[in-house]
Amino acid sequence: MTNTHYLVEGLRLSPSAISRVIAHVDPSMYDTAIDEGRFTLREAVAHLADWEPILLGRIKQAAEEPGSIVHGIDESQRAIDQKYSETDLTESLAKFTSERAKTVEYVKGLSNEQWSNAAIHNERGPHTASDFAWTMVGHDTYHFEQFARYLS
Amino acid sequence: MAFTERLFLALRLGPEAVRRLIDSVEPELYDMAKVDGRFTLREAVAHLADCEPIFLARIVQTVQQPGSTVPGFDESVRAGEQGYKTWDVAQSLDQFAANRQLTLDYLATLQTTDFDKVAPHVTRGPMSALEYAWGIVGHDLYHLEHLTLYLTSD
Repeated sequence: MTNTHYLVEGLRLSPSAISRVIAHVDPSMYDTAIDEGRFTLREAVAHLADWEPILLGRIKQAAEEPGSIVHGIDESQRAIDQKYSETDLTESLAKFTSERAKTVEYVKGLSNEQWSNAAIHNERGPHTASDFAWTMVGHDTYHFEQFARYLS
Repeated sequence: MAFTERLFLALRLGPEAVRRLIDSVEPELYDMAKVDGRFTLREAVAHLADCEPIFLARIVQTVQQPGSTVPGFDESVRAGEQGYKTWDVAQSLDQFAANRQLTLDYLATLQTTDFDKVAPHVTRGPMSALEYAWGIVGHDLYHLEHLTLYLTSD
C-alpha cells in the first residue's frame, strides 16, 4: 500500500504552483535557457504538458497490467519532434492543468493492491504505480525549481 | 536516472526552490496569512526547518526498528510551542537547507533493501522508508504551492 496524502496533494497542486510562478516571469525570458543543456521555460512547460498523458499511462499500466513492459522515451528527441520551442506557453499550461486533473482523478480511484502493482521499465527496472506517481511529484519539483530561477 | 537518484534530486532541490521563491517576495508580506487557518510565510518556512529532523527521524526509525509505531504530532500545537511567529525567515531557510542535507546524507548510507522496510505511522498506517522519504518531497510541494501566493501583494 502507499500513503497517498502528500502524493495526491502534490500532484493536484503543481499546476497552480507552476502557473503562479510563470505569471511573474518576464515573457522576454521564456526562450532563454538558464542552464546549458536544459529546456527553456517554454520548452519545459511544453514538456510537462506533453508528458503528462505518458506518465499517467505508466501508472495505469503498472496498476492494471502488472508485469508488463514500459518503454522509455528519449526526452530530447521528443522535444524536437513535438516542436516544444514553437509552442504557446499559455496553451501548454492549460493542457498541463487539464491533463494533470485526469491523473489526479485516476490515482484517487486506485486500490492499495493497484498502488503496489509493478510494471517493468525497460531501462530502469520494476516500478510500482506508487513509484511512477511519486516520480511525477519529484519531476514537478525539479521543474518548479527551474521555473523559480526565472523570477530573479 | 535511477529511481532513488530522482528522489535525491527532488529532496535536494526543495530548499533551493523555497529560497528562490522567497527571494521574490516582499518582506512586508512575511506575516500575512493568505489563507485562513494556514501558516503565514514566516511560519511555513519555520515549519519546514523544524519538521525536517522529525521526518528524518521517521525514516531512521523505519530502517532501524521496522514494525515499530511512528508517532504523529499536531502541527498547529508545535507551531505555538516552538514560536514559529518569531523565527527569522533567513535563518529558517538556512536551517531548512542544513537539515535537508542531513536527510540526504543519511539516505545516501542506505541499502536498497532499507528503503523497503516498513513502520506503521500512528494515523496513516504502514509506510516504507521510501514512502516516508518521498512524503517529504510531497510536503515540500504542498508548501511551495502555498508560498507562491506570496508573489502578489493582494
